[in-house]
Amino acid sequence: MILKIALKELKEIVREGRFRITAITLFALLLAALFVSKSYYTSVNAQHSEAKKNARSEWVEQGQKNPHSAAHYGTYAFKPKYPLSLIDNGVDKYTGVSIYLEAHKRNEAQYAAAQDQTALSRFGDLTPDFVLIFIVPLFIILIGFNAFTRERESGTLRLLKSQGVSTWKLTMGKWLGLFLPVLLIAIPVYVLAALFLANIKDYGQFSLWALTLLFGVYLIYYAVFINITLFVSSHFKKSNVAFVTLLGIWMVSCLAMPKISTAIADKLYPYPTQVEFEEQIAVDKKKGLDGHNPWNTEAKKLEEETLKKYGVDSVQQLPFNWDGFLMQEGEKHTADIYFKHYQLLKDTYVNQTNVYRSTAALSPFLPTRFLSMAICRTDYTSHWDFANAAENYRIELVGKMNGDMAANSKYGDWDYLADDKLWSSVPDFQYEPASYTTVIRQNTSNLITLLAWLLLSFAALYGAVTKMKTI
Amino acid sequence: MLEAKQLSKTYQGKEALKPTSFTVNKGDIFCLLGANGAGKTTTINLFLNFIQPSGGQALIGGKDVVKEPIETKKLLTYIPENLMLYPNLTGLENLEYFSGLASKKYPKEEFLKFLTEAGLQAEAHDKRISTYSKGMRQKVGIALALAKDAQVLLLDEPTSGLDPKASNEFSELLTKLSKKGVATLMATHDLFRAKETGTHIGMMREGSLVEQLTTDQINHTDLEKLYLKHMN
Amino acid sequence: MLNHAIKYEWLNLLRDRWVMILLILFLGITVFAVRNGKEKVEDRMATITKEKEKMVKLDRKMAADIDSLNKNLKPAPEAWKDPRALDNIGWNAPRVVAMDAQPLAVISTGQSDLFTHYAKPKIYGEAYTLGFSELSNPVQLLFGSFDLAFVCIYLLPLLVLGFSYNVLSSEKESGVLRLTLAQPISLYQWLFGKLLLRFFILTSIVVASILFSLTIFDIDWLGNRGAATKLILLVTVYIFFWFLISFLINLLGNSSGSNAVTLIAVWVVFVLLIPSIISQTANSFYPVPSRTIMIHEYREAKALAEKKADEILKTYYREHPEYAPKDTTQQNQYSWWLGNFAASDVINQSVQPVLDDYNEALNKQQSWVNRLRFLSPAILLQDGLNDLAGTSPAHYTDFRDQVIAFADTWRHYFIPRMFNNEKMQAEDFGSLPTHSYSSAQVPSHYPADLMGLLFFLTLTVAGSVWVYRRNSFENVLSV
Repeated sequence: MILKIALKELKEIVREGRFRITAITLFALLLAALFVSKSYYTSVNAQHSEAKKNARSEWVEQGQKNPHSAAHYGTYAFKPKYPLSLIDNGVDKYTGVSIYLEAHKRNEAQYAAAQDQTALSRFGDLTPDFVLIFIVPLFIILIGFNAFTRERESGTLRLLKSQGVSTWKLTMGKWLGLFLPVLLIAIPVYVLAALFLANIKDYGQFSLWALTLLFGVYLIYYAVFINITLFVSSHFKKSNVAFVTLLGIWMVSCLAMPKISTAIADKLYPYPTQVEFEEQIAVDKKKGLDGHNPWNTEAKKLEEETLKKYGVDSVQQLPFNWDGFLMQEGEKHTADIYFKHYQLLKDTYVNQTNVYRSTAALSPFLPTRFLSMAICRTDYTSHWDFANAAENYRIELVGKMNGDMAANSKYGDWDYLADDKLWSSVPDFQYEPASYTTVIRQNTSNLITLLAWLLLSFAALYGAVTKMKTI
Repeated sequence: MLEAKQLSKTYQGKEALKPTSFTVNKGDIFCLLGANGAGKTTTINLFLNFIQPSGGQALIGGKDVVKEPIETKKLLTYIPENLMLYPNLTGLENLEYFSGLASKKYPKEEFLKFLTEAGLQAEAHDKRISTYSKGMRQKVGIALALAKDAQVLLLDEPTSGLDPKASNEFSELLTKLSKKGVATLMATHDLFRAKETGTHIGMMREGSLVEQLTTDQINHTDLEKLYLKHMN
Repeated sequence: MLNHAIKYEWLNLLRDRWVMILLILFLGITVFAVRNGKEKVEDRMATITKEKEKMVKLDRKMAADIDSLNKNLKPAPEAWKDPRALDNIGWNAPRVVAMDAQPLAVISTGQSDLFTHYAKPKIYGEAYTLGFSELSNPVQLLFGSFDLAFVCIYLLPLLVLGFSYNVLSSEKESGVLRLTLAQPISLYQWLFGKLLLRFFILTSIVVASILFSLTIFDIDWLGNRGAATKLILLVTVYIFFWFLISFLINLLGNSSGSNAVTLIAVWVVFVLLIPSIISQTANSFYPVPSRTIMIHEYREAKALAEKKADEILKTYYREHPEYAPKDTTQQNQYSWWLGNFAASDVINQSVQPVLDDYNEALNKQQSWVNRLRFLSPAILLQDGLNDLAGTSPAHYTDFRDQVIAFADTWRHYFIPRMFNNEKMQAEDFGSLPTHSYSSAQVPSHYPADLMGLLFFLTLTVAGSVWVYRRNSFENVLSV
């Protein structure tokens, strides 16, 4: 019975001119988005590969110099891109692509694309997720807004009820009748995307499972919108009113709520300015161990302890280069300071994320977007993960440099030079992203919110149609 | 006043109106009878310049409605089958508005007089159209004819959906107007009213005017027999 | 006849409950949007004020310390803490170079969430190391702000469409149109009159809402009438464009439902699709030059220059004889800095071509993309609003240039003095270079944006005339 109704709905929809035009346009947009994204990222990726090679060769070929100078010269860590980022580019445009790794300083990722682009880029990019998350719900509204109102207006609802059709079965039929067109568009896109992404070269690991999960999330999102559409259609007498209401809901969910959420998050948990942040770090650095100045009090204490430990009277008698050792201790201390301040930033970020989690109750767009970004590894958490990995690498790199200086030179011998044997002994920066299990675990609340939207919207729909007026 | 000269209309090969000629003079009430789709509404729409003729001419007051749409509309008032007005405005306001579109301005009392003359009870004058019945709305239409001082009245199934009393009131208004010299062209199913009120009768079938006569030439029973004969 | 029609149209609208609700909602949204903008601007300005106060306080303290030290009231601290050392001042007492907010800054966030609004350049550090990005949650940048620009660009068209999508079709569907068209009037004039009235009503309410919101949040638009007029003009032309689109679609004579769908599609195309498509394809076909590659070239040039460090200082003295040590018996206390300055000069000279090439390529790319804004009225409006608010990319590029220029000025205040081995005096605090912000030299896009919008108006009017000629009453009435 339900299937019969669904097929009739589908027939009605497909025969309508507006469906054909919009479905074809939608499909064309998705394809265009896939292709355009691909060409953009291939070129960006080529730039990155070249930059990575350059950075590594700069490091290895920097010639002979004091290891500590090499640590100052530094190198770069580049954030890898993953195939799924073609679907949802997330926040990548706003976070930097590379981090400069140098001694004594933890840097932010630099060269965010958005900073070099015109204000036009703030409208958003035509990535597949743009179409999937903004346009497809509009499509659902377009084909479904008069699902019930047209039956009411033409009187056929009365006819149906007089045939003894159960309202819920009718609703489910209509539901399927709306879901099938969505599937008709989504499945080919899914298949195409899978083929596309599996065949891109030099683009990192592609996971079909992740792509499937991503589409699953979007299908739940669409189910929620179908419920909302049918709910509104069953509630109003006139098609026009249903349409305008649904548009309003789409506007609020997809455009207004995200912006309102950022306003709230920013108000409750503001970030410090860049200058303030750096100055607070500078203050902490002054108060603490800083490595370059042997007159610092902490350094003095450490000197005394070390001298006692090795049973000597002066640093020259130590079996290693005291300067190298001291600088490494200083480096560790500086790293601790940075860790403390970045943790404060992270806390602000976590608090803001919680604000988004609570506002997700007001818009199905929010949890979907966050889940989508997380699966495509283009959310801010992925960036933090990369930044932390880069920091760990930096500490190791500098540690190796200072360690070599401590072990292989004498105190006061600033003419000690190391060469490319030392440089190449430091492996190139390799970054492995968090496993998908971790990603899902980090996003359980978003998943739960989205599922809650699904269940509650079904419940609301059930409540509405069983009480629905026939005329 | 009203003249159709070999007026015809064809839609995509289908002849909705075959070349037809007739005249409606001052004071005449010409009733067009016929089944649905016979061409009655098409004829009226042609006189209103809502559609363009495929052949021939529609003349009002000697002027071609296609060549002089604004001039000819000044002379006529049209009451469609289901006269709809602006629901949020009152009867008076609607009358004022449409008269104004025809560049007719009167003081408020004059408009109220027109409404009363058209048979609309005084309590209804200041109520919103959303509260009016079909018959009441039609009376506003008649009031508009009075206000416009129209010389031609085009009516499309005016009595459909009216109860006998309202129908009777409407007929009386028509007669009043006809005595004033208004030429009326009315498309209708109502054989009774056509004989009672009309001066001329035209029977249409599948786009042709198959019969034209004056009402004093025939009685009620014979009229019905003649009508049924043509409809088969 | 037009006046007459207007009076009754006005009555009709007033008595429509939904119209009233929509307009009140819009007022509320405008107030909210302006409030958001105001908070952001206030936060920015508060930070800058605080920094300036800190700077003044520090100046006073250092001047007092110098005094006490000169009078031997205090023991001399280590060299790097001594306020009489010029390098100490140049490094630890930098000036605040700030980008003040324009009077109408609240109307559009623009690029202000990406960049810093103040910098404190010191005497050490090259131009490219000056970072201008602001700390923020990139999700905020992704979602954007709920500012007046958002309301005008995205929501206003929907308001206009809601007001006008069924202006002809509803009369047709209710049946009144038959009576109207039986009157001696022209359909085109009558419809245009109706829309014109709705345009005036809506525009008045929108303008009033905007001015009201600005007033209650203490934005001095009266004192900045020029900017306020430009704002009103831009928004009005945008509104009129959408009314004309509605007019055109209504002339096609389709049902209300069909009109609504078509108009939403037009909105999606102009406001969502065209901007995102252009943005994406522009970056594909005319990509931004790679900063990472530029940095690589920069580092190579720098490494090369550093290798010649010793030579550099000797050459520097040859080229700047006024800096040669006058008294060779006394050790210059700033010797390390001197070397650094000289090296810095040489390095900058050798890497400048790299920077220049990069900036030129970047400018070319940006101006090419800027031209694409004429493809959609939404982009034109965004550009114009950013221009008025002082938050366009051009403003930030200009600010960056001002900071770099001031960094240079700051250094060159100290260089000759340090080469002369001078000390900082308390009175000198008054003559330190200062910066005042001006945006006068930023090229204004506003006139071009307005022209672009007017062009869209003309196109739409031409389109509607064409549709009207092609369509007869038959289509409109579907008889």
